[in-house]
Amino acid sequence: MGTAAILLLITKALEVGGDLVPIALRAYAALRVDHTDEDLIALAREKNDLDEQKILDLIARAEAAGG
Amino acid sequence: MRRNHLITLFLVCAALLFTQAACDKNKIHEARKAAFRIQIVTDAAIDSTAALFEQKVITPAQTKAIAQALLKVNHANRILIDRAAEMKEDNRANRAVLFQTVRQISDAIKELKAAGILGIKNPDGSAEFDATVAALDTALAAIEVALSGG
Repeated sequence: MGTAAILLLITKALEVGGDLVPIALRAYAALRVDHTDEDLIALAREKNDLDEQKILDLIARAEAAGG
Repeated sequence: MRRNHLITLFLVCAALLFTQAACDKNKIHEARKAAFRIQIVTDAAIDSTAALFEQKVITPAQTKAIAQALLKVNHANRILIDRAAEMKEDNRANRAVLFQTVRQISDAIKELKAAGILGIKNPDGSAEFDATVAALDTALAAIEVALSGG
């Protein structure tokens, strides 16, 4: 990530205020450890699978509530 | 309170700058990191949407529309993860393939914005949704910058 992306992050964060901070912290914490390429892919795939299930569950709950 | 947020924000940005300054120049590694970063932010967006739904800040119909858009973001990022995993070297052809995948994620994020803009009337809910979309935008911009760099 270059300087332009850092500036964009700062600009966006100032636009939306403190709400971006927890998300930025979460993203930073996940990348704080210097993962190997294999670890990054394995972690991303695992989370991708879990997230798909979380989204499908949320859609099911929304539909059950009348959505 | 706002001052504390700004201080935290400054610390986060400083930490990111430090991390990025120390990272290597391999674009394939950058793409893998970006795919993971987008996944983390997507995860945060799902949690935020679920919380807004539980708090009845957004309607079930809005929740469903946002969740379906998030599903597209998640699918597009899965393609990025798989393509980044397959690549063994950094060259122009591989970067072009990654750019193409990034555009798919970008299109999915546009749908996510449209789903949210449909009408989150509550200011807090709207701000939280804006924050998650901004975080996704930023993660996407990061990979675009990384891939276009020398």
